[in-house]
Amino acid sequence: MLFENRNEQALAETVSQYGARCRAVARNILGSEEDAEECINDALLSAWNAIPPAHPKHYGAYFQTLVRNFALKRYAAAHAEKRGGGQMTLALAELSECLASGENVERTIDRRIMLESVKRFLADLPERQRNLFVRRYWHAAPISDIAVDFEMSEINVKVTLSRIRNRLQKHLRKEGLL
Amino acid sequence: MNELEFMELLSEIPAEYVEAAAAPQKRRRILRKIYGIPVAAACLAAMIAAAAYPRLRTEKPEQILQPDESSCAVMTDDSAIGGTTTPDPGITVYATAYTTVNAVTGRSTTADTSGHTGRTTTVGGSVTAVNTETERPGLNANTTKTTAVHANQGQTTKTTTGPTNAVTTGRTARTTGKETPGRTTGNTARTTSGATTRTTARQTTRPTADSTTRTVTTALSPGWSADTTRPAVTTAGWHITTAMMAATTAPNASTTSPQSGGTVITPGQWGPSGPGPMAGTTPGASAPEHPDIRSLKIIQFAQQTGDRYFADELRWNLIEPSVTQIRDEFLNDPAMAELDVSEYSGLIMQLTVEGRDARVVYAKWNDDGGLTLKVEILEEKGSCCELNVMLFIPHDVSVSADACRVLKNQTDDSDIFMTDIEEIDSNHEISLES
Repeated sequence: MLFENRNEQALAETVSQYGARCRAVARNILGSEEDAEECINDALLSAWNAIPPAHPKHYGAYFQTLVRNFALKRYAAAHAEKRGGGQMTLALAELSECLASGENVERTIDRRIMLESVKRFLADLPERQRNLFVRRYWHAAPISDIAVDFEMSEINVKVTLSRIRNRLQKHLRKEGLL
Repeated sequence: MNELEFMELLSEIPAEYVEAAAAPQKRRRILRKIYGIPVAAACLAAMIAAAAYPRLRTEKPEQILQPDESSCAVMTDDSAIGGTTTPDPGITVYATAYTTVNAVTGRSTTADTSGHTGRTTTVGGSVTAVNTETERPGLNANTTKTTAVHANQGQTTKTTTGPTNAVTTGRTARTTGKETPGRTTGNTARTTSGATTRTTARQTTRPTADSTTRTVTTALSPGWSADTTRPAVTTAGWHITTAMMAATTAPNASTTSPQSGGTVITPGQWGPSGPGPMAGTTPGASAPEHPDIRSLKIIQFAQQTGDRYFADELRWNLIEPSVTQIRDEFLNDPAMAELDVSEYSGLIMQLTVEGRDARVVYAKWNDDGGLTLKVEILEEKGSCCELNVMLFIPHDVSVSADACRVLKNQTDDSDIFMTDIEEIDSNHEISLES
C-alpha cells in the first residue's frame, strides 16, 4: 500500500521488516557486508520502480528475491573466472556435482522448462527436505546455521543435502534435462 | 546450465517455498516422546540385568587343541557324580567360558566359571576345554556338571553324573561395562552407556536325571582350530546391545539368515583383525581381557530415507591395522572418557531410528574385510526416517574413506542413496533420539 501511494516510508518499512533476512542472504552470497548493503539498496530502488504496477502477493519473498538476484549478478560479475568467498563458493561447488558437466555445455536448455522441472522436484520433496534445500541454495545459508535452525548435526545436514542433490540429478536426468 | 545459472533459476521458485524455508524449523517431538518410553525401559532393564546377573569372567571361545586318543582314559570314577571334587593333580582341567550367540534361535545359556571344577577325562580325546557350570541358586546347588569339549567333532566324553536337575537354560542377559549417566546438552538428549548385553549359548546335550552313565557329546564351534592366534569363525552370530538400542527387537527364529559367504561376527571376535581365542586357563583363574582393546571409537552413520522404508544394507569397510585421525578425535572427546572401554568386546552397535521400529537383522564380516550390517525398518510410514547407526570398534581397526555407503534397496533392488565420501567422519555423539 505504501509503495502504491508512493510513500517513502515504504522503504523504511521494508528494511525494517525484511532487511535482516535479506542482508543475510546477500552476505551469504557475496561474503561482504558492504556488498550486501548495496544489494539491498539496489533492490529497494527496483521495488520502488516496479510497484506499481507490480503487485507481489508475497512481498517479503519478492523483495528477498530482488536482493538475491542483485547479489547473484554482483557475484557473477566479480567472480567470472574464479570463485571467491562467502557461502556461494561452497554452494556452487555442491551444485556442480549434480548439474550438467562439461559434456553438456553446448546443450541449450529452455530456462522455463528447467524451472518447471525444478518446481516439480521441489513439490515432490518432503517439506523438511525442501526447506533444507531452499535454505541452502536459495538463502545460501551456511551449513552451521542450517544445522542449528533445523536441530540437526552438521553431518546430517550435509548428508541430507547430498541425497537431495542426487535426487535432483536423477530427476533432471529422468526428464531429459541433463 | 551451470551451477550459477541454476542458483539464479531458483529465484523464480514459488514464494511459499522461500518463506517456509526462512521460517523457524522445529522438529515434531511428539513421536520422540512416545518412543522415549521404550528406550528408557530398555535401559532400565539392562541396568537391572547388570545388577542381577554375575559377570562372566571369561568370554573367550574354547580353545580347541588337537586330541590325542592314546593319552586319554575313560572316566568312570563315581566321584564325578554330583557334588564338586577336587581336581586330580594329574589331570589338568581347563575351565573356560565361552560365548556364542546364535542369531537365529536365540537360545542361550551362561557358563559360570566360579572356580568349581570337576574331574573329567575322556575317551577318544584329551580334554581340551571343560565347561563347568554351577547350578544357580534356587535350584539344587550341589550338582556340578562338567562337559568336555573336544577338538574333533563327534568325539564323545563319557561322564558319569548323578541325579541332575534341569538347568535353566534360555536367554540370559549379562550386562557388563560401566553404566554412565545420561547427559543432556543443547537440544539433543544424549545418553552414554557402557552397558552391553551378551547372550551365550551352549552347544551341549544335557544328561537326564538318572544315575546311568551318559554320553555327553558336545558339538564344537565349527571353524575353531588349534591355531590360537586367529580362528576362522563361521559361526553365525552377531553382537548387539539391547540396552543401547532404541526401538529395536531381538532376533527371532524367523530372522533372515545372513547371506552366504564372509565371516560372521562372534562376540569377542573382532573379525579378521581380532585377537584369537585365549589358551585354557587353570581352574579358578579368570581369562585375561582382550589385550588389544585399549579404546574404542565410534562411527556414526546417518541416513535420511526419504519417503519410503526398506531394509538397508549398510556397509563399512574396516581397514586394519592403521590408526586414523578418527581415533585421535575420539580420544580427545571428553564424553568418551566416561566409558570404561576395557569392558567392550566385539562390535557394539547402537541403532536409533527416529520414530520407527527397527532391528538389526544380521551383521557379518565380508570377505573383503568389510562389515555388512543389515537393518530392517519395520514400520511402513510415509514420512522421513532418520537412521543412525554407531559402531564401537577398536582403535586398531579403522574405517576407510569410502565407508558408509548404502548399497541397494532390498525391496526393488534399485540403487539408493550414496553419501559423499568426504562427509563421513567420526562423531562421538551418542543419541537416543526417538
